[in-house]
Amino acid sequence: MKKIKVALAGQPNCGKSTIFNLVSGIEQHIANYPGVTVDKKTGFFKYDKHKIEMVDLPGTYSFSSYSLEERVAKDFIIDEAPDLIVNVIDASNIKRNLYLTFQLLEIGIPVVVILNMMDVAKRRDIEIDSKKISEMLSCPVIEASGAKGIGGEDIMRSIVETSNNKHKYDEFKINYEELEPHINNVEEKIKNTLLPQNKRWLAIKALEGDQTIINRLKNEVSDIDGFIKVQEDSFHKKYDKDTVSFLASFRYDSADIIYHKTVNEKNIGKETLTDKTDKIILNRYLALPILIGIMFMVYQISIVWGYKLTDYTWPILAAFKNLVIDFLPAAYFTDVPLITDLTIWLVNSANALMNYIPIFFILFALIAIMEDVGYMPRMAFILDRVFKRFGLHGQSTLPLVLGGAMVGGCAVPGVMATKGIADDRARMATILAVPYMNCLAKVPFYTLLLGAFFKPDMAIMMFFISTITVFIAMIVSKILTSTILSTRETAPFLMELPPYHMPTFKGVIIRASQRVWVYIKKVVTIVLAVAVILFAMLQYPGLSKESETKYDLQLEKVLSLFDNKAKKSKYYEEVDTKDEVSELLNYYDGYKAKRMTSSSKEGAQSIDEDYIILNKSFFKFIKPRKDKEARKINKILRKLSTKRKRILRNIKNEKVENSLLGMAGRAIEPFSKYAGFDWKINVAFLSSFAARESAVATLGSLYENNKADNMRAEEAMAKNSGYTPLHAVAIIIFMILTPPCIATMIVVKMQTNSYKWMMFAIAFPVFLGITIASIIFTLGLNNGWSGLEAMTYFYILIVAIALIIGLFPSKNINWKGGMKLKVNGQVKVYKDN
Amino acid sequence: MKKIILGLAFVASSMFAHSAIMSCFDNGDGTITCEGGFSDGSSASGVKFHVLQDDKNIYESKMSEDSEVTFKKPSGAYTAVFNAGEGHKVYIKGSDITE
Repeated sequence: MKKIKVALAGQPNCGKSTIFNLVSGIEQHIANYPGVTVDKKTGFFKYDKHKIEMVDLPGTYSFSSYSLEERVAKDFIIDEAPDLIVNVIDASNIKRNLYLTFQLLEIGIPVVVILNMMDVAKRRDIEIDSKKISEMLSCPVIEASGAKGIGGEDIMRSIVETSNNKHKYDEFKINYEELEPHINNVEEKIKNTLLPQNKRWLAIKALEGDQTIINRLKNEVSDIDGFIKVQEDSFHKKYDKDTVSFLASFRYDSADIIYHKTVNEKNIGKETLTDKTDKIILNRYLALPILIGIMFMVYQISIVWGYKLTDYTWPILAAFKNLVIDFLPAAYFTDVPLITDLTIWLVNSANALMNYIPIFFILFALIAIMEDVGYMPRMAFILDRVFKRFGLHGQSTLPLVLGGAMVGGCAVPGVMATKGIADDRARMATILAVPYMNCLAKVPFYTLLLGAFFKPDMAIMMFFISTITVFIAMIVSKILTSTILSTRETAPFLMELPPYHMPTFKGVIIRASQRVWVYIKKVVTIVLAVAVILFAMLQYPGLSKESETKYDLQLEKVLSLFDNKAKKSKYYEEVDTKDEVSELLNYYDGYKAKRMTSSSKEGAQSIDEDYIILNKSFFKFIKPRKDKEARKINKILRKLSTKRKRILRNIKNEKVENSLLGMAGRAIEPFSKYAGFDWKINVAFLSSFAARESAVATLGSLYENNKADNMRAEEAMAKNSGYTPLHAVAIIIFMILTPPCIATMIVVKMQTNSYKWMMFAIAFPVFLGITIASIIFTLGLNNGWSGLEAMTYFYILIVAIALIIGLFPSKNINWKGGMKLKVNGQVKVYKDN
Repeated sequence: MKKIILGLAFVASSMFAHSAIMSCFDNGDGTITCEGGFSDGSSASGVKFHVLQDDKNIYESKMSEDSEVTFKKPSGAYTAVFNAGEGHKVYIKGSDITE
């Protein structure tokens, strides 16, 4: 079977992905282009004994600027040498689309042109003579409509025919008239290079100053830089023209000729449906309310409803975890094998991220719909002016909203939604800013602290906390974009508002599933790396010899108590050895864990049946029913299980306290004390970030309290503790500024494709948090501020900074000179006359 | 002093997106044990728990360090409620609690 490699190219919004889905069927593969986070979609299909591999290049307006997408697309053409290029054109916007077509034709490989959205063009009474286009460009031109599913067969046939007739292909050339001698010079200079591409194309690109091409040529022709400079200069001298704009104007003119000879727009100037809709959607007064409404719906459907769905999906994950546990070596009382501990830890970490899948599926589907409909660029258009001042992009809206612009969101989907932001710098800034937004899961934490320290001022404090986050996110992104991100590429805001389309069901589902699948694949690999490191940081160096003996003694005591009491039951001989007791204990705990994951009666029944098969004689101790003798064992078994859990918990706490992480908590006390944090708070923060379930246990028992008090936790906190409201404010400020969780950091790694940035996303907020908390705490301490005062000053400061950045124009006047006029004199002249 | 850390710890643990879960067993001796937790393995220690009967709270408590609560089985219909805050509540009807 013959193989054909096809590159699918087209401008943004030309409906390239609908064409891709139309022909490629379900055999699709999605990955990233090497080194960047641009999606590389590959589809496979068979036609007429040919196997066709189609790679969807990123949408690009031209092939001569330096955006990330164009570089990726060019690298693909150079490195992977496709057999032919399929160029998708928006038939309702043919003139501008043809500009790219000419650049593709010049590459020197056969091109198949697809006039997509023919239905839209027809509806707008645009008549297109596709035969004539085909003759003029001497390449096949196919009419299609991806959204309506028309033209797939023709496209496939044309790809195969074109590939089979490759020998008949004649090099495509635009006559660049005055520039021709220079093109020939460069072509001559590079004619012996080994690059397989068309030399004329390489020469033209080099003259255009295309760095991708020049760098490649440099490998073989070291003085190419200087040579091209000479050519450009001499051209400039002779004609007073720049090669770049000269080439561009030739291509535009060529596109214009095709347009005028083949297209007849009868309704030119008439208002289209899109124009009418835009009058409402982009209306000065309505645009913002509509945008807020749509954002609210996306938030509601994906985050709120998606969360409800997780009630149904998590039992699957929990069942998976139980299944894994079944295969792991069992614990022997408090002696849990390392491999068991580590594997459960890994599965827990992965499950925490997998729990987001329903949310993501809905979110990605909604994003796909908004992209297809054409709302995404409009949203960016509406808000770009505001966001630009902070180094962000109009498209940063959605991530920030999901991250928690409203009542509280979640940074994980927020960061995941940054994928579509075209501007690399703004995308990075958004990824790093989203974790500052109001994380839903932080809310109970604030509620608790406020209840304890700010009873009368709870409402105002809550208002401060929930509204300050967006200002902080803005300031942070401004700081980052004007410092470490300032060298990042930024795309000029070239936002096209495409006509509205109906999304296709198939396209939306395929895209959402693909993105979810990529998420799953990455989570597995990244979780493995991150979780293993954290596990080690929490486990080592482990318990001291004395502690081990201490816990062994405790266990012995508990076991002998069990043994004494078990003697009273007639079933004693079933549990009279240590091994038997251990087995029974694991049997009991395993049963309970499984029951936790089944909510239905039928589910519970089937677990019962499984456990009866597993060990019939043990089952009576779990469910003694009317059997009095078994009930005796059941009672002490339950106690034994509780006691074992307590010992395990204490062991874990001691391990964490002595672990590398615990040491870190102590080590930073000299700094953190300025924020009012002692080492206990430090360990609390560190372990809550790193280890979910251990955080509670750690601190719960480390600082074990007399359990018998009936005081409400909040009251007890205020009365028993040595902390003041000012301490609470410092803790709150730190909490506001620090990243919500390890899951967020993992998606940051995913989206930035770099562990360095992930580390930065952890370290910078922590540094910021501790610095600001220290400043506020120390100032407050010295000036005798109350907690509310400290928080108010902090709030005013942040809002003021944000407003100053927002109100000052981001562009300074960067020209000077001209005629120095004496202003006073000038005025006088007018007055005199 | 001690309590604040306890509280802090609990809330810190809830700083993860997760679903609240609870399951209850009838111990067969006139008591019911409910065990709470979160889907990511977080402990539910300290989470509020109450039992509703005719829209009235007839029992109120908190999850123990083992994320468990044991209470006397009420006569008549009742509902066990695990309350970890807005969006994190679980209701289980007494009639669904089996041995």
